[in-house]
Amino acid sequence: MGKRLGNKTSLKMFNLKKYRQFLTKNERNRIYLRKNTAEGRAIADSKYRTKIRLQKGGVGVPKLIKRFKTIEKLETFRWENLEGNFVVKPASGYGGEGIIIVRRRGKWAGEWVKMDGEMVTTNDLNWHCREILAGRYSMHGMSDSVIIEERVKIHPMFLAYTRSGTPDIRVIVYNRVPMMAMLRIPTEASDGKANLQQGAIGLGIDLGSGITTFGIQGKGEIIERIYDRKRKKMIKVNGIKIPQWRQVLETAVRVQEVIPGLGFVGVDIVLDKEKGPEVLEVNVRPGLSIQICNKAGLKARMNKIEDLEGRNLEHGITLAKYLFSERFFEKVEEKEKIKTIQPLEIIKVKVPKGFKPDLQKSEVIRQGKHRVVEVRAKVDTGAFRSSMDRVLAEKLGLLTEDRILYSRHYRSSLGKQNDRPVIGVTFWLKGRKIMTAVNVADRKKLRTKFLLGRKDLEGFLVSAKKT
Amino acid sequence: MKKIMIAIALTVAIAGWWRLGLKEIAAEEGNLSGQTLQVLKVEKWNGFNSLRYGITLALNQGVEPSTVVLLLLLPVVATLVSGLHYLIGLSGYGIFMPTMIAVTFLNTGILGGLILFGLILGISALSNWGLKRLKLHFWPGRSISLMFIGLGTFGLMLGSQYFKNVIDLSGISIYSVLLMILLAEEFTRTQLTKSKGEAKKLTLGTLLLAISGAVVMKITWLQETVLLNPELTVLIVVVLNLLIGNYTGMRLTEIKRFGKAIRK
Repeated sequence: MGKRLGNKTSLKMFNLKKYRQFLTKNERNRIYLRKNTAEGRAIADSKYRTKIRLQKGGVGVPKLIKRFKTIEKLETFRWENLEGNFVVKPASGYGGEGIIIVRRRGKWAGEWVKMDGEMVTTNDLNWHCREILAGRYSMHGMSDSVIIEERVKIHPMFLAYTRSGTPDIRVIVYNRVPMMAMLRIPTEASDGKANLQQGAIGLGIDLGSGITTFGIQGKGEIIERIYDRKRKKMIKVNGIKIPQWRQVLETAVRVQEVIPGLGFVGVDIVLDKEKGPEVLEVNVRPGLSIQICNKAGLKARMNKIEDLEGRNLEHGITLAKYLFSERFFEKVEEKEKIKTIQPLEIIKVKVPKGFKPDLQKSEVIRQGKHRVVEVRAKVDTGAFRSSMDRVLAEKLGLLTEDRILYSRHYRSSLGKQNDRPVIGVTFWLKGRKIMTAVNVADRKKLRTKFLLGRKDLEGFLVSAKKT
Repeated sequence: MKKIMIAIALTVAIAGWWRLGLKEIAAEEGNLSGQTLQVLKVEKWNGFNSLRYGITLALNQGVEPSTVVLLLLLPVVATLVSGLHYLIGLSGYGIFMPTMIAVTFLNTGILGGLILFGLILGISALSNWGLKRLKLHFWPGRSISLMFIGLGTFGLMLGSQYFKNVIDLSGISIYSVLLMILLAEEFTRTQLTKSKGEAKKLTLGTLLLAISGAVVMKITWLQETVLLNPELTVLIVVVLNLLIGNYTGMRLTEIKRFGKAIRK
């Protein structure tokens, strides 16, 4: 995109236009009220009710072992029947306080070993439960109930980044579409809690690929490196791939399907070694620092899908993937020069998995693990979005119900108007992978079936010189 | 940390410069009521001045003018606090806490209030630290902590006799002590549930909001205006709060916060 002269001279701090993309606290508070019903908020605020709902709806949660509301119930509970591997926590706790994680039984009866190797006795656990019941950890000191649940076994991939505590993934979902995600890593400062306010690390995650992008520690300190305990050195915050990314996003969207009345929600997900993604907590007033570690605005993304809604699980995730994906050339850009392209380029369009394209076999080639088809594309910097021929899209299996993101009203230069479907397309241009939303048009009579709009040409220079 | 230190130093400086005792206020408000009562008496009821009429009646029946002024100023200070919060981004513990503490400062004086708060906070932190080892139930622990606070405040009142020329704390009311205890409790709670930094920030924010509230409450012109134009005061409070309540834009502090998230 072209830079206007004004941008250079104006001060960075006071270019208010650039701030419009962000969701402000004032607006978050309003959306929280408007989008979430009282019923939904009540469920989300109670960990117990959330857990029961999600369990019934078939969403993965750490298994509930026992819940007490009164001291009498607590006294009859037989701790010795537990095998170890459990967590004791307050049902309406706040900020991860009041949680005891037991890894295994101790050497002697009535002794337990915590995650950090410290010992606790059954007496200690009983005392802790009494404190929870008395309301020591609840929001306004009101009496609370105790939840005992199975301990999540941390996915081995995360063990490299934390010493104590469980890293989790916060996904913000709006209208059943994932909006933004971050990996939260507990630190010494946060005392093992994955809470940015207490000093945990947050790494932004690209929704399309599940790869980390930028990082912050606490509420606002930008960090560029974190310590890798396996390799014993500092590594860059970007480039960490979250395993089972698709399932993580699916789990997050499923929460909105199962608990009605939650239109705007932050879902905290942990990855269990054996059971995959499990929902720890649902947050109706998610923090806004997620925008800083993603270096992107929630408001702009929410505006994009304001009048859309994820039709189903598949559609919601497809929308997120193609509308909010990162362009990964950014980090490459520093090393390489900006790539020059010709007005006419050959691009490689990805064929969806499992689809048999309606083409001759020779046209489909393999690139890595993907199947791609070469398409001649014309560069058109006058168009914003790229555009693709309807017949070609059908042949490549891109024009199916699931892949149509939404329909948009377009006006062509000749004054004709029509509704065009917008689909998610992945293609490679000069070796750079681009995941983007493309509108479908009738280009039957035209020689180039693909038009490259300026939205997808960031980081490229168009040269009119013939080669 | 540096910023916090500077802020504390500033508040103490302001407080020292603006040292106030209870007697001073009472005297000034006595003054004020004499003038205003005269103005109020001329009024005849015409529907639009019902409040003013009511106030005249109440004053004639022996209601303290300072009470009426405080009642009218309370929403004004609350509006100030909410404005500072939603437009600037200065946060405290909710809106009532800073407003109440502002009223408390009128009783204790700002410096006195800060000393009282520091003392209560120190005692409660110390007793919490000690009580943790005893592994008592939650509430008995709080009771003991409360006892220490009571004794400490008593000691402070007693001790302040010797520094009477610097600050007089013998006139502290029990409500001031109670409110300061609430604030100190909030501090410990936040420290537990959120973080030390957050607790410091919020407590400092509360004190700053309260001080600005107290300063505003202290303006004689405002006191007079509010007492003379109660209807206008109510109207302005409502309009201002409607405006602030519908504001969804950025807070001043968010410019710095989100500035880091802008890609270059």
